[in-house]
Amino acid sequence: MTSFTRTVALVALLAVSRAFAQPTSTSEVDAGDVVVPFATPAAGSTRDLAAEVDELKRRLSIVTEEMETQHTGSAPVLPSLDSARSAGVGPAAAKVFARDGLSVGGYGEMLFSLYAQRLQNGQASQQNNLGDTQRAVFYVGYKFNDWLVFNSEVEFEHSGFSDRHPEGEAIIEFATLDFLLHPMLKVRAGQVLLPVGFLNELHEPPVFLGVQRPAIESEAGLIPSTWHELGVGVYGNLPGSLSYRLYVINGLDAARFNADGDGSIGSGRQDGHQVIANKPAFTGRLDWTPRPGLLLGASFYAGDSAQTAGWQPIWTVLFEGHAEFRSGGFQARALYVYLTNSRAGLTALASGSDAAGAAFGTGALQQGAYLEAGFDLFSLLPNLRQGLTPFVRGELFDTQQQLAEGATRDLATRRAVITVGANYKPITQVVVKLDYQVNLNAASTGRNQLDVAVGYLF
Amino acid sequence: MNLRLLLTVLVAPLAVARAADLPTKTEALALAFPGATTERTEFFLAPEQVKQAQTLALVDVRSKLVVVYTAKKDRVLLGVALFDTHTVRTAPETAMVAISPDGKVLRVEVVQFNEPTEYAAPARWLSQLNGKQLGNGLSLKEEVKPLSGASLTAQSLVDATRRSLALFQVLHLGGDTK
Repeated sequence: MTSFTRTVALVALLAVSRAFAQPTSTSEVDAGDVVVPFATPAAGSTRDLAAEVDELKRRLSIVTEEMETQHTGSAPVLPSLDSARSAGVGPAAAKVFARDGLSVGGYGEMLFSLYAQRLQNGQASQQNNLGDTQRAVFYVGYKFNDWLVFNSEVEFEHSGFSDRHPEGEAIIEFATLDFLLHPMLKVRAGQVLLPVGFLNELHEPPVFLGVQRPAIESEAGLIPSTWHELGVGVYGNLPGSLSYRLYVINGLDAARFNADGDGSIGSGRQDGHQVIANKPAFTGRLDWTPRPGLLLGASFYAGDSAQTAGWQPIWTVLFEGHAEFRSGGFQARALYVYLTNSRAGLTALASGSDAAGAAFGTGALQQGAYLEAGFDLFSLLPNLRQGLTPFVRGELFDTQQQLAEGATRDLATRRAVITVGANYKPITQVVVKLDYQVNLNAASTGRNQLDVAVGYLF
Repeated sequence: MNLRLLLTVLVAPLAVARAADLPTKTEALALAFPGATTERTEFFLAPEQVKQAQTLALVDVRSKLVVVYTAKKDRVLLGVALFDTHTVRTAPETAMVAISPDGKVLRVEVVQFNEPTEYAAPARWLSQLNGKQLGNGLSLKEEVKPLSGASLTAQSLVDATRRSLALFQVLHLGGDTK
């Protein structure tokens, strides 16, 4: 046992015996006190015993001040500060890190989907039920100092990637260096999450309702979350309860648009993987919180997606507006998206390569909206910290509302999705989800499904 | 002239670079108790005091060492402040909870936040905790509005406030739950 450990143990013992549940003020020890070496006093020496008690008090104060420093990240505010400093005009106390700056976290979701064996039009159509480790995501951050921070997320989708299962995915979802210059002006560089919609930036399973993300905010929808690209930009908070983000990033690659035949731009994402960066794009967001529980905001994306040399410009422009309200156990969200791709640019692809042929079917005008509302039944029992939130969500969207001249419309891209279900949260960070989705489309080929999932974040 | 103005605008943010928006503990105390002097006092909780505080707060009280800052001005007690350190997601946050002599929240200030800044609670959200006391809707299920996109932060701060109010009652009011 080291001498320091022995000292701490003795201090603790004395604290228990003499100061148990009693206040100990640091002001009781004056700077001018004589410090007596910590030694065994002579038997029967009251003066020595008193000196030892004083010394133990002094050491106890040092230990507790050190503990406060470690716990709270900065030194205690001691009585020796003069009144001017106590009034807040003194120098800032030195900040120290309570830990080494490394932060690790993660989230994930495992699901089971049971599909209807008949389509919307009544036709029998077999589809295998599905079990999937949909996502396991690990977060690693490092705080270099008070104004330089690294954050990252590494995502494994569908249980990862292997030779036997190349359909999986292991990918950097974001990796950024943040320069925290000022509350109103912070700089972010690296692979960023685009600040569009509700789910693209905040998509941990316990924070959204339903097993599946809203179809509008998924790859085959209008906002292809998770949408992440390389870029640099600024963000911060502004007076009036406003927050903003504004990035310049590599643009989408139109040569990959509509690769799945759904008319969407989702497959045009480059995901930070050796991106073709011939054309930049711009994206941004403004949120307003007029009062706690109410959020109003809008975001945009704009860029020429024709990364291939010789192609006519294909400007992809997306506007999105959103609102959220939460009060007590009630929560509701609304989101609207308006997206255009240059019709002339798409039309010019009619006689191009195979890739151009697929991109030719991308929607020149895409539009959609959803409404969602839920109520936490356990909010009626305030002392119960769990949550049980039945919800309903209705989505209506079209990824081929208008097409390039001569392109053929797939009516299945005009969709309505109604989801009814419940989220059960035994604690804030863990969720069990169950819901039923009615999938309808204009081609009458929609297929309903029952989903159940467990999700977590830490 | 225009070039000088442009340079000033570009360089000014760098000149004030710091993590930011968080006050130090001294500054937080001064915000809660302007012009007051503060005295730091340590309390070592007895097991029954921990149990009593947990019963009042309905949240865990994990540390038996509690530091209370008492603020006085012209010998008049303005209130006390406790600094509560807790884990938000995986990183620690420290919040000062300033409490009036009659056991109501005067102000909550975050002085340490090591999660990504997007998850931090803005001042406007924190201000809704002012005036709250134990048993008065101090819950995200009742009078405290959730924090969009940062539910763990909101829950942590509500818990910290409840814990601080409970400790105040146990240490200063002898556990009186009024």
